Amino acid sequence: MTDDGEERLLHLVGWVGRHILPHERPLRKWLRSAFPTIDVDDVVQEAYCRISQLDRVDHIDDPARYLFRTARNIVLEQLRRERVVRIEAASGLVEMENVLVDEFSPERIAAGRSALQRVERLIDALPERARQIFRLRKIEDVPQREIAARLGLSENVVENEVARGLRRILQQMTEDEQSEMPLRRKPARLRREVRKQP
Amino acid sequence: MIDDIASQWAAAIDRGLDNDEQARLDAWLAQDRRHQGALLRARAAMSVLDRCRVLAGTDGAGDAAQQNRAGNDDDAAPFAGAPLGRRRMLALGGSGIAAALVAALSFSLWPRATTLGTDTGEIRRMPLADGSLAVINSGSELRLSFTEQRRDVALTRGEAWFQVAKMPDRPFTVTAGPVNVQAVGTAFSVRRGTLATEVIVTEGTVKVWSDRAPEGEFVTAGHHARITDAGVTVAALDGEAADRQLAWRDGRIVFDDVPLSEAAAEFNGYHVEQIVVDPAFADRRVIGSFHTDDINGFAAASAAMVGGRVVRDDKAIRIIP
Repeated sequence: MTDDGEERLLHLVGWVGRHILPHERPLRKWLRSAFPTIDVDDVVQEAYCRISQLDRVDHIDDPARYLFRTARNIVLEQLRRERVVRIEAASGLVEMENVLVDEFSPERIAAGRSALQRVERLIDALPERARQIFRLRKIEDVPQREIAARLGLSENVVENEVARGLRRILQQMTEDEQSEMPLRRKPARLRREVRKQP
Repeated sequence: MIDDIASQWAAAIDRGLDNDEQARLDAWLAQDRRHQGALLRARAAMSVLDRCRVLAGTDGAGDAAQQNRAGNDDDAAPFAGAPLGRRRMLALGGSGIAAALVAALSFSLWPRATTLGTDTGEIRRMPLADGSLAVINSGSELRLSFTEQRRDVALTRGEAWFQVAKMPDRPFTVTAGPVNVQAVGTAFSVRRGTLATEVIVTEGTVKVWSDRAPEGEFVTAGHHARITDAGVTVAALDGEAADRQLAWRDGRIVFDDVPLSEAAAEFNGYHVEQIVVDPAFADRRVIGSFHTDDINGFAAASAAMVGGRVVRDDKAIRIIP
């Protein structure tokens, strides 16, 4: 990858972290209630895929709206491929704008300010060793290699803790409890150990 | 699964990749277009964690202010006036208010003959003097005549559902033109149409007869009777189909694979304002549940789905290509 490409990517990563990720949970919640028949994970995944292909994001004034619109377009494309039109699903399209209004109520904005504290709480909720590693890495900015040396662990163990912890944090940040739609609850995913060792 | 691998790569990127790993990462990214999105998401989460540093350090104000701005720049105002509030009220009306009405009214007595009607778009739940409950659909009319010996209801137009209080010696009879439906304690609906009268029984048994078929038929729960000039036809109706056909009681219409033109016609029964579907879209089939009071939402949604658009004039809401 070129330096230019790398820089663009870093910019995108930061932008997604600041402006897209915080809206994933409301997005999932909206998708689940507005389109009971679709696979929410699939739509969210496709939305990130499309965002990852953006050359630049500076022109996006309202990232939350952009995210919701992207997801809506994906749903619409999926629905149009179906033989039978699901009006029920389509009614969700109409309601998107209302959801967005709700999301930006003053209370929601105030809640957004405490997002940073929430992230810190997420780290604190990790198991002991992962928490120690994340605090060193993320709050004190200690490189993984040095963390391994300080804690007397192999670099591999540190990296795996970071991967597992990140997965867990990501899940807690973005996944909706699904408590409102018990009928749609998917069977609990099997937890498996991460196999990939890059 | 993809997310697990993406997190693993994000952790590896965080410590720094060598050339060999970079090549493997590139191969993984090229393998499936979704991998790129998943990695972006995982790395974004990793970058969010960096903000802890800001929080723990000097100031988080800059970031918070930025978030705040993003919120306020939002041009949300034009979308105010959501139909959601009305719907919630309708949903509430279905349960809490009705229960209160039952409590308040079931002890009062109806005059010997009473007319109960609904306007277009109105659905009423009416507790009756005998402890029965009538739910009256849009644009319908009932005339009640209760005595010590019998309970007679004339459905002069439209549709209603009845939950009949059990009184073995005081039959409850609904008359829809030439058609009669009699129960002692049960739940059923009667819909008076121009060509046929339809009866759906959800509890117990009713007897259905008409001028043309005076001997009549017994219809049990889970069955549907269609009464025309030719006679009475009884067919089984599964629970889901019954729920669907009686969804109007909760302010919903449920369509199960019906042409858009038919769905619109059904919807029009609840509104003075009418939807007109362009012939090009008339046969597109629809499935779904909808709120009876949200005609605009229905029109907009249908148009979006069939790839058309909505235009309004003073006569109708039109769905056109």
